[in-house]
Amino acid sequence: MKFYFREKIVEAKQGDTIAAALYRNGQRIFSRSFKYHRPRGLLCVSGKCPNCLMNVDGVPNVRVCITPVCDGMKVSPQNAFPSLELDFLSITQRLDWLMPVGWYYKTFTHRMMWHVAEPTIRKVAGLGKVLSSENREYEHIWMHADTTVVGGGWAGLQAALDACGKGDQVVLVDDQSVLGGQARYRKSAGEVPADLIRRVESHPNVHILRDSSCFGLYEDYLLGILQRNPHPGALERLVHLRTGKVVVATGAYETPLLFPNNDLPGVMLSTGVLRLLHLYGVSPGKRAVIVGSSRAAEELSVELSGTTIEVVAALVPEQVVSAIGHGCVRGIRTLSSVIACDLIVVCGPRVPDVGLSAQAGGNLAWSEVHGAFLPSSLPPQVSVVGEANGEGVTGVGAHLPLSKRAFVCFCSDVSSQDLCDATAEGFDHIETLKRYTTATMGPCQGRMCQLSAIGVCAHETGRSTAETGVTTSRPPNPGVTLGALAGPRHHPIRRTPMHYSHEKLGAVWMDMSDWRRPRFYKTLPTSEEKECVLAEYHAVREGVGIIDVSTLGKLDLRGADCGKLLDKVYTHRFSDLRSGRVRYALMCDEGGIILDDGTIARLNDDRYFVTTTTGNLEFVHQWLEWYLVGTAWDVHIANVTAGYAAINVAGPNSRAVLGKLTDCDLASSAFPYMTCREAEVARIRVIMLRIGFVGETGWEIHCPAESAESLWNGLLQAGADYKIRPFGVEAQRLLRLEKRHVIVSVDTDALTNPYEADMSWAVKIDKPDFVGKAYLANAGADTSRERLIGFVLTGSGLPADGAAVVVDGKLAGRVTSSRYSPSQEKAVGLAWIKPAQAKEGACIDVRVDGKLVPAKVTMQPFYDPQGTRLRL
Amino acid sequence: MSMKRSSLFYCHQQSGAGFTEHQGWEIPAFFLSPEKEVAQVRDTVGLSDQSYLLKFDLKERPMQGRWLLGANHYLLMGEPPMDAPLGAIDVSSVYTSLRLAGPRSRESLARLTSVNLSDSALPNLQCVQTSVAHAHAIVMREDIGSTLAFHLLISREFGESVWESVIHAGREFNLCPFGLTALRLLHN
Repeated sequence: MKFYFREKIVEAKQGDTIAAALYRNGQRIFSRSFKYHRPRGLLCVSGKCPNCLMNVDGVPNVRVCITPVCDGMKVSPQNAFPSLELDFLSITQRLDWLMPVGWYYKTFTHRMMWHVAEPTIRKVAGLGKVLSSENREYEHIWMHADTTVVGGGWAGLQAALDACGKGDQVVLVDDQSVLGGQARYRKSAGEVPADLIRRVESHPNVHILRDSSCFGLYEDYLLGILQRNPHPGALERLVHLRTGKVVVATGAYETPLLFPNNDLPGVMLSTGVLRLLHLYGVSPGKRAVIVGSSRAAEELSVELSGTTIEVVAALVPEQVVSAIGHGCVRGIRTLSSVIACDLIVVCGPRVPDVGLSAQAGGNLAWSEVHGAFLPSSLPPQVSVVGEANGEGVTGVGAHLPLSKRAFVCFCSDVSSQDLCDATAEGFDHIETLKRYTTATMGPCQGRMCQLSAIGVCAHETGRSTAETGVTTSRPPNPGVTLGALAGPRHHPIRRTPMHYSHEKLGAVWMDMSDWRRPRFYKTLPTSEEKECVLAEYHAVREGVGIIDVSTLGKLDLRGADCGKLLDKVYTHRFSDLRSGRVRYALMCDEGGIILDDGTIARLNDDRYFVTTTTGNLEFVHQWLEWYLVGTAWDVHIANVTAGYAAINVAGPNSRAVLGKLTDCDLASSAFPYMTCREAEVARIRVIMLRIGFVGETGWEIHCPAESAESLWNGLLQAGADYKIRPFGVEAQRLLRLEKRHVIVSVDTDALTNPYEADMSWAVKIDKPDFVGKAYLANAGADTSRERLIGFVLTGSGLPADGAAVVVDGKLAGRVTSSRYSPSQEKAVGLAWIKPAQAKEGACIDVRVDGKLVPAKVTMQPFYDPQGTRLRL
Repeated sequence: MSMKRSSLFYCHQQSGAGFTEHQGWEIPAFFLSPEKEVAQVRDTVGLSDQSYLLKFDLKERPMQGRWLLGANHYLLMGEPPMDAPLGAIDVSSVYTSLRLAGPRSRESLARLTSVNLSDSALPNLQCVQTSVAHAHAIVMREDIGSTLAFHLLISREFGESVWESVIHAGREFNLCPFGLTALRLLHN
């Protein structure tokens, strides 16, 4: 296998990670640090430290020590210029005296200074660059399990088998590609019988997620898991795993020791050395010095015997003065001598990985015996086993350095000196220390530095480790790519059945929540919105137009008691509505606030057809069902919104056009305004409502969605002689505004009652009971509230929606909708104003482009005030 | 009278489907070849548009072929022609109904919905209401013989969005659309 590193071809063996292949080919520096641009090499080799972040195939901040090589992949270093070996910005480490801990807060004391400095700081500091990820695929999957075991080491495998023995469906999550945990590379960890792994792998009740990091435990035992390379088509997969029980078997990880230059490439954790050796067959170095407690050093010497590594010395941490070298380790200075070596193997304290149990709500307590924070209490369905629970972990906590110039936090270059300074400045609580210094807040999320930070803090404040405590573990840990959280691009679009007909007619779309509706139709590629809308307007006023109103909510109500229910929830009366009649419907809440409006048609004695506004359908449906509960009324409600497409045919010629397609008598004597029929149009069974939102003779035709396209096209064909035109939402809004028809939640808001909106005619206060009656019974007499009025601008200009209304130089209201009215040849609109001015003919001023323009109040529709055209 | 079209008509046309007439509907007979489609469904997973099925919303329990949606709320679904039971509201047009079939159908669907689809949680001939690819859906488990299969009922306007999402979700298993001919072969 081959891949590219900085455009050079690198050979890799089967099973190599990128880091292993690079190391075998002589690469020692893998990254440059966040702040000082210090060279950094492999440290943990297990995806926990921040030292090997690189850009892989355009994705930044990939941990190459756990990323397997794929043929032809392109790998490049980040945060280094011109190269990893020679980074000009490493000059910043000579300027560290200029940048003490908290230097942002101390230096940029004025906001302007920060604005000047920010672009430069962003260039110098930081991690990889986010590039466009057009060709990356991320996916989500939801899984369910009785028991989830996190960690595929000895303890995890055993726990998985135990759970299976109880008949549970088990998911086993492991962040490595092969099960077995540390036994894979560590003889002293005890052999995991190959048999145990085989039994787990072959057990029908176990589902294994490899290469998967569990990053969070959320409410109700929902685990967030990030799976790398689940299949060739996806880069990462986010697993939402709902589980009954969680077994945390995450083991323990090794952390660095503190001494000057402890971050030099060539200083490596003992587990990292063993991983390179045993998992990938890469020799990390030739002459090694072991640093660690005498027992740990002894154990490691045994592990290393028989390998190509020659152990030249074993030192306890107290003997170490510093590591020596530029760019990589050349030796180690002890209290008594200098020892030449090319590898310093650090046997650091082992820290149980208990983040998940803490996220579940468990408490942690310091255990002197184990030298670690361990779970002291756990939620009922969470258990912690193995090293994560302290089994086999012994330690004394953090080792403190002789010199204070050792790196504690590798992610953001925080030294022990910085921590001491911050403590001296008063940030002596572990949580404030974390926030001020950013130690434990980097990509490693405290895995490398938490114990050391606690140790330094405890030492400086003179408190014990137990008193100092531990910072809070929060998900996600480890970090998750935003692409994985976002998942695949599923943006649901709601399309009406005539969607593709509109597209052919040149529709310019507008989004109404998830619905896509034609705003207007572009007849010529060069035509402007204004002229198209005007042409559509004139077609409706003078000829005939059709509009797709399929997004209207539609409910089919059947049963003997529908009238009772509608009387209860709507303000108007519907039980006395005769079959074949239609009535405007207004719905209020208990406080008399307008919730929704629509029309209700009574198709026969036991069937009502209710329409709602586009956005409120689900709410209205639930509202009706809610008031039905416990009544024992015979009412059956079905949401048939998607089942019916709706087309409004409107204009003086609408009768002539429709007449060509139906036998139904459309004359006003047989089919008057506000009536309905079930009929056949273009040989399709439809429901016709004679209503007029736009103020002309017209029918709203509801037809089964699967036949809607042919009805739409049939109408266009039949109307060709009459120059029929499809019209969009913009023309419809202009047409309805001329009729002063209110759009709920555009012209009304969350405080509007029907009296204020001038719709008292729709409230039958003499009904025995309806929702909102108690309030509305008194609201009618309240003359102190603002009123919704119409206005005609006497001057020129067009007020914006929301423009201020001014009377006598004082703010007196606001405009809700305004358009230029072709019939009035002036701008008209609706506005909320103080009751004193809400009288026919009153003079107000409206603010247009910063100037006050006079306008006249009217309580009548602007166009056809008597409504004669509707009834023609 | 022109033929009825599901919300996916243009989607099928673009994927080069061969259409046929079925109960007044213009629906895909095949996409590749019926034999290939059947093999794909038996091996991994396939998706078909069955929007022509009749659906009735009921408050009382019908004799057969019923799905329980809630307390006193049933859905009856079946092949046309079929008489509407007494007191039913015809909701056939409301739903785009998809048929997801094959041994990997569960895994494909799990990428789009949080609901538990396991044998114990959703046994054969049971249904659940949930969200699939961000649209409300009724997921009905009805195996074809011994082959795992689901009906997905989605409000019609979401049809294309959900179809595309399901196809995308199944790409790991080379999910392919299948037509009426393959469906008939599968049932035999």
